[in-house]
Amino acid sequence: MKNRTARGAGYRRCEVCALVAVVPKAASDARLECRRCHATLHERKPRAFSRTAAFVIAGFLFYIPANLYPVMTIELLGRSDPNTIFTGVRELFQSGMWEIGLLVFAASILVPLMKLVGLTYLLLCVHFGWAPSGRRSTLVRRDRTVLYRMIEFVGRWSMLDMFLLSMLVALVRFGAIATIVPGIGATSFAMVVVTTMFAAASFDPRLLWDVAEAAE
Amino acid sequence: MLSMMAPDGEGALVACPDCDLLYREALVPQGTHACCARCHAFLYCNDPGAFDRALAWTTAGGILLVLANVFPVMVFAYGGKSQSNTLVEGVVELARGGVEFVALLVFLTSIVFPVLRTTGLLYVLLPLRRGRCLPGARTVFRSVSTLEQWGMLDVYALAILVTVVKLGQLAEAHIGIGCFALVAAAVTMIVTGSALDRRDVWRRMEAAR
Repeated sequence: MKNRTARGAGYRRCEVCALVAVVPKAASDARLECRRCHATLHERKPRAFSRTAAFVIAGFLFYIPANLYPVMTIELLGRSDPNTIFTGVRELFQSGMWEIGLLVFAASILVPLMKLVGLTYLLLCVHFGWAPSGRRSTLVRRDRTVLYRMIEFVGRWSMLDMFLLSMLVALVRFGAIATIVPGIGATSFAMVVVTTMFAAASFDPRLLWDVAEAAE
Repeated sequence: MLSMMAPDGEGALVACPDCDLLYREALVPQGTHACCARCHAFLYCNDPGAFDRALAWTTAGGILLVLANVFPVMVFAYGGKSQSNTLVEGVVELARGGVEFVALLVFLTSIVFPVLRTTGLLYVLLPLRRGRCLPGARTVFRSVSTLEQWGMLDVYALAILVTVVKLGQLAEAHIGIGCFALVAAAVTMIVTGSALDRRDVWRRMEAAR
């Protein structure tokens, strides 16, 4: 039983309820349905590589306007002050609130970038079959799997900026004295959050392990 | 085509979700869980109290969710006027400000998905406790599992903290009843998520048919 994969042994694991099913030899191409939860059984997530790549590219494209255009414009006593994600974080640091600044920096700058770069790295590993041989091989692939889990876990937290915006626009509406108007940077940023979350969800970490199994 | 039987329970086949390694299920001591030896992914656990705990936390979450949606989250006083906001008002103001997509996303992740998740779980778990399975329960539970990470009340709770500090430097900013309810609801959802033994729920549904 040691080091046998479900695929190698002719089984499929249900993505939804985790039940392991036998794949009949005669019907390995047929559409199989899970006996317990009726979800479609896949050997690997369907077209995981190209789907993830598409979402990552879209994410990179939206990342540019998300950082160039203002997320919100603060209109205070007739002056208007456009705020991008970066200037928002800088302002927090400048006014001495570096703890909160660090938090917003992590959620709105570090996390999206880490997701995009991290997923690109994982895709490259799969595509070029980068995997050291021998005993280090398992360690390296385990680290990559951990990286994937981190990307998947941390992804939701970049919504922080959007929730912040939704509270600010509702709280600061005092007509000519002080108003906050959302900008198109916000729409782009929301798209970054959505595309990167879809990208992480469509990637299949088992691809990272398939690479080495093919080589062995 | 329906898949063929593979025995479930002790001695059943278990495949690692992250690296596809195949195991035979062995009984682990109560309160512990089994991990994949190769990639350290969570495989299964043995926690007989998990079901009741998850149900209790979900019920509490349902009540808190109502309070979080009805009461204002924050009150902000500036230039002699004061302004409070509820969850929905933020969505409405975003839509009015011309960023409808952001409004939709905030609406879904802070209101719709948390409510769907809680009601969905109650619909599945409550009858299942008495060994019954309501129509469509499998579809509901499947949707709840996929929507899990799109309910973002915990992220919202953190955003409140940032807003309090950010607006606090301009003028007076207070947190409202809705804020306490929202933070508590976020906690119940996190605890529910970690207490819930999904495999156990699927097994119970299978036994209930």
